[in-house]
Amino acid sequence: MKEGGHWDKGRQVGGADLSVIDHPPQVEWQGLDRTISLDSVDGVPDATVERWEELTAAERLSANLQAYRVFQALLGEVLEKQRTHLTPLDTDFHASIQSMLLQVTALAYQLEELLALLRHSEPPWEAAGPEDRDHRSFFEMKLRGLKVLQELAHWTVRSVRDLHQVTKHSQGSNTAYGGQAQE
Amino acid sequence: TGWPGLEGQGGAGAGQFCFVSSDLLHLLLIPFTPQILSLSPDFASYTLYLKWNDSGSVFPYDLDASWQIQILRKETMETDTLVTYNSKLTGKDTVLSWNWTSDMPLECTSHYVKIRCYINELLFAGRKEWSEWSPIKTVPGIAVVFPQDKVVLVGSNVTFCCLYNEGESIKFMKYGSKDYPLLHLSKWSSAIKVENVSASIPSGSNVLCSLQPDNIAGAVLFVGYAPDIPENLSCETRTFINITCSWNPGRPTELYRQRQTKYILFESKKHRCDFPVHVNQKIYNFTLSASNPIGQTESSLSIDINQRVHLETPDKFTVSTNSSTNAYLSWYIPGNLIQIRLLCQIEISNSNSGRQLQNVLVTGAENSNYRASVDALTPYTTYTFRVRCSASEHFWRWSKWSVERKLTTLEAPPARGPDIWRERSPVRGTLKIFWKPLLLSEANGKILAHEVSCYLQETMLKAHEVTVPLNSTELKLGGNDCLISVVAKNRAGSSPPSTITSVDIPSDNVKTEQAIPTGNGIYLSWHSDPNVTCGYTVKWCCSTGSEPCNVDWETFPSNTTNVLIKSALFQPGVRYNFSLYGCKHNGYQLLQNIVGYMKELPPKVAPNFTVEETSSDSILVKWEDIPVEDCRGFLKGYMLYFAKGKRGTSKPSYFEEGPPEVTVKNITDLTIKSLRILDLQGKTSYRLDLQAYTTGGMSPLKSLYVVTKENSVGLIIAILIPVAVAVVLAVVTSILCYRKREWIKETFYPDIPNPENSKALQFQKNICEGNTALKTLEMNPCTPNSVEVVEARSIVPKIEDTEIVSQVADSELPEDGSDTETENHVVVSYCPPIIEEEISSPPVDEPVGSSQVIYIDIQSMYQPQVKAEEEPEINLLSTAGYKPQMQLSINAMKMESQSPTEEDLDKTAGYRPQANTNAWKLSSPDSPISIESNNENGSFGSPCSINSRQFLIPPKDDEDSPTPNNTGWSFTNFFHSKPND
Repeated sequence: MKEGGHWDKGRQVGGADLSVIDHPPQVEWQGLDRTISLDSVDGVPDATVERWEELTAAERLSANLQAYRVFQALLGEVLEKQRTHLTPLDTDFHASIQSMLLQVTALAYQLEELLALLRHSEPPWEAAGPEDRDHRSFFEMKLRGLKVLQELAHWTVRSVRDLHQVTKHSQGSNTAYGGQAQE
Repeated sequence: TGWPGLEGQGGAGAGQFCFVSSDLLHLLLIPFTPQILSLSPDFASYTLYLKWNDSGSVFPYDLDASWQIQILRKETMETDTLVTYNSKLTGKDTVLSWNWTSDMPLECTSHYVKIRCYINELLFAGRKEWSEWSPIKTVPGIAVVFPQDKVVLVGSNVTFCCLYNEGESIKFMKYGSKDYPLLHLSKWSSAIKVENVSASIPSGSNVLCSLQPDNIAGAVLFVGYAPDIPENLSCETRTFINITCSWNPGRPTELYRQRQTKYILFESKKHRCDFPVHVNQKIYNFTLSASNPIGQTESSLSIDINQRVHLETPDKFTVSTNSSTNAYLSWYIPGNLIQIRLLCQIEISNSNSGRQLQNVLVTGAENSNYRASVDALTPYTTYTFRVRCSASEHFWRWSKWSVERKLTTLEAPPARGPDIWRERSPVRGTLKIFWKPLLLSEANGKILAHEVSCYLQETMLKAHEVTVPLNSTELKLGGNDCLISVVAKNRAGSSPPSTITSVDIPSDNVKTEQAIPTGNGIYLSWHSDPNVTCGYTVKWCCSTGSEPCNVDWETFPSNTTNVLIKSALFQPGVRYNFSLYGCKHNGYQLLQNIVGYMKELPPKVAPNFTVEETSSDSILVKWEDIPVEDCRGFLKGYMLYFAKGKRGTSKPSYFEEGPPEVTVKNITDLTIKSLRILDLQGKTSYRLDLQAYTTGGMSPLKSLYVVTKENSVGLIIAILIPVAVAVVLAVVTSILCYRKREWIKETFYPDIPNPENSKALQFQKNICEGNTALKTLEMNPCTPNSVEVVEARSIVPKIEDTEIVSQVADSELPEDGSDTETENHVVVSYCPPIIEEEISSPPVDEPVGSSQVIYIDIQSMYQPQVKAEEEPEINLLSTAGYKPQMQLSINAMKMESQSPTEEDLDKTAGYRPQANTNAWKLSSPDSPISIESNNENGSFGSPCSINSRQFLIPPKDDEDSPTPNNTGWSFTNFFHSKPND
């Protein structure tokens, strides 16, 4: 799936080709090479999934919700690291992350609503892991920031397709929900 | 077997557990293999965080579960720890987490974790066993680059090493975007050396270590500068409460946040950010220390606090007034300023007078308002004020300017009376009074009205008020002269009066002069008059359009003798009349009238002119003056152009053919109104153009066309002279002709022998006899055109090799000769085209002498043959009309045959003289050739036309011969041959 660290090579997420997604500008801004391998960074939700077509609507929505919940925390962490350590002067970048964070929060809320609407159970809140530990090297901070932004981009594409799929199934099985399931 | 999902051995359960049984007692409870959700290391705390799902939802009720977690190390997977973790299954899925702290850094080696499950179901009778181990999750030993997060000085050399684990190999190392050569230190470490590093970006330069298989490590290096020594350290107090210091950090260090420069300010070993002013302390010694990870610097300063007072910006600034010249200002300055005096600067600005500064000294107080007043202001004027302060004794710095405040002073009575003038009105007994509005600076307020009154020996006769904006009024005097007084009034009061008498102004012996235009004004000058004691007044009137003109005037001191009058109303090309009045002790007197232009322009119209009278050689032109309003300048003269030219030509000839044709007269004497133009040609059309000119240029042209009268004497002379000349010429010619008649006759009409008297008619018979017949040919040369000898050997043996053929005929009819059957005739064709008329009158009585010519009508001879052949070319030839009779020598024939090109030419020629002069044997007695002529050659001499008495072709050798015969021949030859040339 991830070959030789070239994360942008025709990668399939939920059946979608993600190579079209722009690389996060952070790549250039912080002197990182865009061919760099980010596999060593963990704790970031991975958008890749096996047998995507076989997922149920509940599984899709739960996976999305869980991912965006994690991203809320991760983006906050990235923003804080950028402000205090990496790019103290680049307020525009901070504002962009802030704006992204707001959108992710809003999306997570929408997904919760949708799950409730479709009468699926909400996934449990996962206990906070070790991700927010303080003693990371600056290099790790950079890699982590890049990984978060990159995976978030992958997730947005997967979400679009997931929600399409959910809508299709809902319309097929229950037209009463179908109309409301659409965002 | 009330167990859900209980199945026989080998069956695959839908749930998380499977039961393997041989019989009920031998049933095995083996939980399904658990899956590790995540395994995260925290290298700082040497801790591994493990998460897994307990899959409790497959059991309908609570159960105890035990989890065995095994932690292994190294590539060889040596067991390090085996722990058991107990939990309760609550009937729903729960993510369990567990952590484990290692006794050695996790980076040191790879750690592997696996987990299995045991369900402690007490009610279950069968055997309970552990599940299979989960797939192993790995935390690889961390590869690491050193140094991590280091800060170094720009230009340093830095060596980075990359440590990695067993089973890994290094691919490359990069600093920034550049690969560096690897220095292999050991089996598990490599290094690069980066020299002369440059300043990094705010997030630091990256060092990357790329490993096989697919792992990376990295570090960030911050490159910057040590802090500069702080420049311009300066400490001051604003309020005598605190001391504030400032400095310039110098060159940026390129380091930020934790790495940025930290400053520490010391005063007497205490370090604070702001220092309170101590009552008894005047001198303060400050030290400023700057440091960052790269270096540290210091700067120090000693101050006397009283000399470092920089006051706060004046606040609550207000301005007020209660008079036309004063203003009161008030402002507030915070701080305990009791021990100093303040120097405050008030800026007063006004759109007219500009900006002025006024300093005031005030005694300092604690958090107090301060006041000042400003006087000598102009009434009814808007001023803008602002203020700033400093310590007066030891000036250090001005405070910032306060905000600006505007104030308009109150009105005051106008400072002076208006300028006035008077004019006699056309209505008798009425005087018109004019005054000029006062300047803003003189009006001291808004002028509401002007009061005009008339005094007779200090008794007011009448008075009335004229409201603004009128600036003139009429007074009915009723025959009394009085002193007129005008005062301007505003809300604050009246101006001093301006007076002028109504007495008539004497205007004796007044001359009119011209002023000098300057382009932007009119320059007037006059002679000084010692009697003028109270100044000169120049009055004029500007008319705008059809309205009556506006009277305007200016007054000048008595010593003035020239002025430049300017007015926005002046327009170029308009004449203005100025009156210069002198103010004398007994009143005004008109001294001079002056006319002038601001700028002179060319006259607008051409002068109107007429022709008063014309004669054969002169024209009297008369013109009229151009009206003053069309002159647009002082007229300097007229230009009169005249030249030959007719109406209808687009331009007069002097424009086309240049100056020589045109006469220009410049008339500079303006009193001349007519001009007589002399020396013209009679009965000739002239174009006259007249234009006037000023300094500004030339007017348009006015043109007239005049035709002078006919000159009768000249005409008569012109007729008589040619007639007289013609008569004289005729007489002289007649006399000459008479005297030379013989010669003329010889030349033009030589005798032609009568063919009837010759033996030419016997030619055919005697031709064979040769010598005897040749005598008839011994005569003047005659040109044969073509000669043809038709061969007839049997009959004419003597000339059997003497074939004379007409050149034309020869070429045209080569077979004719052979076809010609028996006639052995010699054909000499000749056809004179010109002398046809002589056929009717063949000269018969001409003296022939010994000369004879043979004429044969070759045309008549050949015509039948030609018709028979029906050769159109022959027809052409026959009409060519010339076939000389000729007997050519054999040699000649040969030569002709050798020149076919000449024959070709002959075909088209229609006429050609015999070219071969050898063929000609002139028998003329005076011809030298004839003497040598050989009879054997069969020379015939020149054949002649039967219609002509002349030989047609001269022998070429004799063309220049001076013999009369040849001369005669040459004339005809010339006439004949000319068309062919």
